[in-house]
Amino acid sequence: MKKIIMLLIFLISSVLHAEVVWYPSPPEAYKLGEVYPEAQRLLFAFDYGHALVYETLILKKGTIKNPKELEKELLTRIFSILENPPYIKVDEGDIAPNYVYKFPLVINLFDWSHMLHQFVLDVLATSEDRGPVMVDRINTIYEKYKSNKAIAITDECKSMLFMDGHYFSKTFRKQFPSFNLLIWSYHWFQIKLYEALLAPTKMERDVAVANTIAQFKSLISDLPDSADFDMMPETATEAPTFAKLFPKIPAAFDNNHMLHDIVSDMITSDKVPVEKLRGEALRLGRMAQDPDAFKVPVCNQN
Amino acid sequence: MKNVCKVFILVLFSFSANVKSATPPAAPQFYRDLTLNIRKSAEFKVPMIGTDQSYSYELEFADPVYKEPMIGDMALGNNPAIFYRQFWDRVLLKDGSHVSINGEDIPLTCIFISGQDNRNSGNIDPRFPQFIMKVYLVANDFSCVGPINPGFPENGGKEEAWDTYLYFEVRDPTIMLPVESKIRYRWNEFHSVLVK
Amino acid sequence: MKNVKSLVLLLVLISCSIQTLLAAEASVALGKVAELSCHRLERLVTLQKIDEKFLTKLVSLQIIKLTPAKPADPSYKVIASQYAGADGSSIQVEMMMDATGKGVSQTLKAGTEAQNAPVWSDKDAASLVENSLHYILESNNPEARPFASGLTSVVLKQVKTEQGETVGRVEMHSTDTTKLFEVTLKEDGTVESANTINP
Repeated sequence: MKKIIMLLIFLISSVLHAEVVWYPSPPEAYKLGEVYPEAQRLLFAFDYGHALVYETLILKKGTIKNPKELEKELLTRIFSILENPPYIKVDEGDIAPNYVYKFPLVINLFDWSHMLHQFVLDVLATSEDRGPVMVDRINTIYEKYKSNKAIAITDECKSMLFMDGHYFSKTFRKQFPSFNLLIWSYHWFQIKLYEALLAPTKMERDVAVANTIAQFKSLISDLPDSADFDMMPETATEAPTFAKLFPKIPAAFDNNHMLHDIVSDMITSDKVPVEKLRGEALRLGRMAQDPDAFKVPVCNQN
Repeated sequence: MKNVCKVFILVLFSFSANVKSATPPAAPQFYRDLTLNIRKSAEFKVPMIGTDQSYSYELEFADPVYKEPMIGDMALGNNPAIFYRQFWDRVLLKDGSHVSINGEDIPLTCIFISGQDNRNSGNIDPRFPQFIMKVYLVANDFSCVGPINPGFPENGGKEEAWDTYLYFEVRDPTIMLPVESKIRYRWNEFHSVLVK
Repeated sequence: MKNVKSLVLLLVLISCSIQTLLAAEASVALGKVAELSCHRLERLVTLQKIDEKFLTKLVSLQIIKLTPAKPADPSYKVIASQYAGADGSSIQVEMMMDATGKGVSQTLKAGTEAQNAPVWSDKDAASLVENSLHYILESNNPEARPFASGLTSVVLKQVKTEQGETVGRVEMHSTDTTKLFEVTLKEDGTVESANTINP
């Protein structure tokens, strides 16, 4: 009796508050892979590809004599991963320790945003309800994403100049045009999956996802000519149904994708020496979070 | 049924007794003030055979992660006025806060405090620390989640979240002197001593 | 029965025509088409399908709205011109764009090598033009609106200000107004000023 009372006293006397972390994982986390394993594995492969190119370019910064040759070498490595993509999510710090170390804010922003990407796909792939319950679930996840202000990329629409208007901009696509188009194809695939997973019936979703995978493979089949992107694919253009249902999420994704291109340019450009990388990455990362930086009054103007 | 009622009433009394002797309203702010009193800059030396290494930091506080520090009291025995108190706090740091290592300024992103306040423990032996603040000045984590990776291993990643941090303890809240310092630098740990 | 069949056929034909019309209807503002053509120009240069001088010695864009006869026909034509050569002719590329403003094909038009093209110390000519187009599409300036919607041409000049600073001046024409729009940019691409001017 005394022991029970003591235990109860101990339990009741604790006064604790909740922590601000994205924990626990949503119950749907990574369930996309159970329904569409090929799509999920490709997403894991993209993480690998991004990390590999960033790490290589950082390590070789200032010493690349033949960008064409390096691009060919990198593409060969990436394609072997794309042909046999991983089953597990690889820790970026294991593939790209120098990149992770040099760009901590950007890494945090990407990780948080990629989790949103993933969990939205997970809900779309697995939700039995295809109506308001599913929409609410995604909105709940999105609110959680936004609530972590320290590392959330803004969902305010930014001009393309956020990506293309800096002193170091466009360097990556000029020096590594095929790799740039590969990355834009990755982004296209990620965006298109949202649209595919909004098809009303399971059968239609299966077909749509299979088509998206096939189209992606076609896009990267003969780079650079096979990927006819003049500019970075935008979420509202490639996934209009998704954009209509979730009007704020597309901008958050597009800003993430633009930040990826910014990092590519920064690492590639001679105008950003190694000793400036850390500071510039912090500055541009904060810009990605700033709702007023490069803000446009209307999203996706036509 | 009568016994159950007795237990319930006993528990109720214990709870209300505990509430009476619980943290006065100002207490969380006391611990927050301690956090904010952590020295804003310091230099440490890592004694090595051959040549000493050194590192230094500068920081500026930004927003707290918790509205107020977390406090947990553990009462042992029947007297609720005698308890050990643990407290935790996290405060983000402003951009520009850094640790200088090997000529490179690595961003310090947040401060995590894990503390124990033994002043109500009833133990007044001078060899028994009345106060311990374990201070982590964390580098490269703008989300300030750690030191343990929550959800590990189911969520993947590594067991510990922080590959680089400065660590020291504060045992005297009046002078806030860093002691027992060490640096974890990209997963390697070195003990260090305060220089200034 | 014959009448019913004819009616069904007619209905099918009508719906197909409507779909065709809808498919072919251009839905992109001309200013946006011009901006997209800048991206297209960059891609063509990066892939070495056209010369790099289209970026460094670009002087103008001409934007023409087309009337496609078939769904697959282009909806816009954008002619990018380099600075004129000694005989007054320019090397040009004609870019054909679909209804969404995406480039579908291009044709190189022969001309004489550019002469007296200005040299830009920071951003190239095409980037300066592109930034001026971003301005008319994205700013809150109400004077820019007719140029975003009805843009027909964009001409870039290099000018020295009274303070001796080299700037780019982009002059725009539009079918939606008789006025011209002038955007002045620093060599790093930032817009210094933008306003309408009388022709």
